[in-house]
Amino acid sequence: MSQSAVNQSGQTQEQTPTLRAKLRKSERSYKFKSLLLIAPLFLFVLVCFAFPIGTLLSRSVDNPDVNTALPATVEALALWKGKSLPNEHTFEALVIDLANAKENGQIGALAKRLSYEIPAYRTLISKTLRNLPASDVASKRDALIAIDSSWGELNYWKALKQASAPLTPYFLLAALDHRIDSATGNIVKADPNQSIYVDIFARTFAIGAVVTLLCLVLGFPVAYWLATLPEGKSNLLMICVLLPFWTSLIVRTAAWVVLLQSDGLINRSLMFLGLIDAPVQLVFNRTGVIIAMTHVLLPFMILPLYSVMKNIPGNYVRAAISLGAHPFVAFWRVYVPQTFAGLAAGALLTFILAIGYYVTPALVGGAADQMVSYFVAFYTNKTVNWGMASALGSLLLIATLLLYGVYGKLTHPNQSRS
Amino acid sequence: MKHLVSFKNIQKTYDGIRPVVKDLNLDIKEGEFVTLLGPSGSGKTTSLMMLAGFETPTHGEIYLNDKPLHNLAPHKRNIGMVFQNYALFPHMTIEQNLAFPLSVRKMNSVDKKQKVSRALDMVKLTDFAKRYPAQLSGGQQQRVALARALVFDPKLVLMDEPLGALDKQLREHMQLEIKHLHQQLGLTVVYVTHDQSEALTMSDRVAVFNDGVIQQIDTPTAIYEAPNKSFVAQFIGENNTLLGTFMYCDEHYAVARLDDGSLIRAVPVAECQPGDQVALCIRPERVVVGPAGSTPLTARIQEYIYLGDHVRMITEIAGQPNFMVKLPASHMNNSWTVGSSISLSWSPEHIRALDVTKH
Repeated sequence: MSQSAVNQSGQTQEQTPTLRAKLRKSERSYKFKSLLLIAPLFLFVLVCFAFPIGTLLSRSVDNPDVNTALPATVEALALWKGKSLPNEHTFEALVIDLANAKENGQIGALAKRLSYEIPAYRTLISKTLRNLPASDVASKRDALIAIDSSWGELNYWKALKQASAPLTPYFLLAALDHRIDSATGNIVKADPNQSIYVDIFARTFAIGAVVTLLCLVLGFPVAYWLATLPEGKSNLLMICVLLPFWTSLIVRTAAWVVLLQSDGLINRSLMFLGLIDAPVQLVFNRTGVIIAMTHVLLPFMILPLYSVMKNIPGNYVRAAISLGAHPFVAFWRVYVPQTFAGLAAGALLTFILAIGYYVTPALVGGAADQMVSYFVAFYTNKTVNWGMASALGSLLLIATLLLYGVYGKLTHPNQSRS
Repeated sequence: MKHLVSFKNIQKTYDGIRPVVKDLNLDIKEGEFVTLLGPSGSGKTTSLMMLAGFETPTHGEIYLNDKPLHNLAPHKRNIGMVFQNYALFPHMTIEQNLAFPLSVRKMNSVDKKQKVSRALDMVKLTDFAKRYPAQLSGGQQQRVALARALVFDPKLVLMDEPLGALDKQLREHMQLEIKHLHQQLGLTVVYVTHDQSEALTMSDRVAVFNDGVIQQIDTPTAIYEAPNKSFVAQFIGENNTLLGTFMYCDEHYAVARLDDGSLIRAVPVAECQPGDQVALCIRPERVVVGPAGSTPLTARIQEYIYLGDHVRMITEIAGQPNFMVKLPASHMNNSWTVGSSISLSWSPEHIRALDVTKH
């Protein structure tokens, strides 16, 4: 017996290299097959999702306009310290660059980009272009300052240098209502009349929080009821919960407009019942946004809660009652804590979806109810300010990822316990 | 002795058609350990749940300390309960689990701490106070469940198959532990199980349930040695049943005739008229085996099973197969092989004439 064992192990050692090679070979073909299986989806995601999104997000710090329009000027300014006006060579470069940029049709983008730094830059550029000094003028510097005295101010040159960096924090700061002061280089608060984004973020999170809370309040009892019902009945009701998923979001939102409008079903019913005398404004304001979003997002709260509740055996509450706890205390101290994982998942899912909402607020909300996504769409479609659009999008993404991290922290200790 | 619990004419049905408990009358004395034993669906757990307050009787009344229970909410009954899968709260430590019944009773923290540590000590789990239930073995969880049901000093403790999830060795160990706790603390215990050896080991009295009716309630010895129903004889322990025709009663015994004409004397239990079928029940270990021809009753060995300390033989007697004989290995005779004949005998007080059930 032991002899044969020794023999076997001896054999095994001899065979090891070939065995290992065989194993590697078989594993290689297995790996190749699995790679082949995921390749179509992987390529699809890469080409149609990851790459475009990545490119778009990079626009939030990308800063090509000044660089491409004024290459020689930027090069000449590279060594400029900013203590006094740039030298004659820089002015010369600017004149040549402006003439070239005009020919190449880059003036629009340039003027827009520079106007982000100093609004007066737009008129300065067009005024300068109209009176561009001829190439035989001796001092381009004097000529430019003669066209507009702004060229003799350090601020304008500092702003030009600042706007010429290949990467800029400008858009991200602007999305947080801050800017870099071109005179001092410090981060300062934006002008009050331009500070709208922090308010928009606050509004977005507030709407998200209210909708999440409403979904929780409405969804928890439903999920509990579903979890306690016998299988057949709960399946039927689950279909009712999932029904909204089978209708287009736009159709559902439009339906809410019909229901909630001044002459709509809800207002008429309330007036018929004598509860109100005049129609209540329920749509194209915050109320409408919250009602419609709560309805749309309710299943995302119910489903995680239900799946957790279904796995909580009924005898925990019974045990708590047998130990002397009032049924409500038993529910609160024994049942509810066990639903925390589902509650966190549902709340997080609802909140993340809510803060990214676009269609519903756009259709049932007023001007003061538009959320971050609306402004992303606005900058993408209307003003073609992709830097601003992707800066807002990036901040929204960062907020979502942070929330996800918090969720992981919250649920992890529970998981290791059970 | 005073009755702590009385079930009076309890009926229970869930669907209004099929009764789960038919007519339950059961008195439990203070300090008694009563086991409700029966197959699943026999109504034993339903009866326990009605006592705990999680089910309401369709008819009848349950009394606790001579007070009717129907208006007393389950959380006010002050009955300790150990559940089948322990139902330890997974989000609380062992300590918090034990403190739960005390904190809902608004006990002050000093007393609470003292009681919890005493309860932990009682089940020898002091070192595990800060752990969560999932970090404990099945046996340890079981002990926590027991401690939690006892920590608020209930007079009455209900146990619903508390050892069902444990392996055999641990189960036997816990049976003794529960029995000792019962004796030390002077508890009244109502215990539900479908495991007959558990019932026999632990109980003062065993109530055998079937079809929503108590078939027999008595001490473990009486249940085993003197079953009053065929169901009880067959459900508890191993049992042989011979079908015979009742002839007449002599001074002490009923006389029944087997198909081959042999007459058997047995303790008369079932009421019957001459000519009725009776089930003659005897435990395998009460059968005495002798060489063929030594007694009038001859059996043929169908199967022979060697089990080390004892031997089982499955025999055919009077045309009825599967009659089991159990005898110590030392009483074995080498000539008893499969197919050979032997003679069987027993003393008539060990065989009982019971009702014929269709099993």
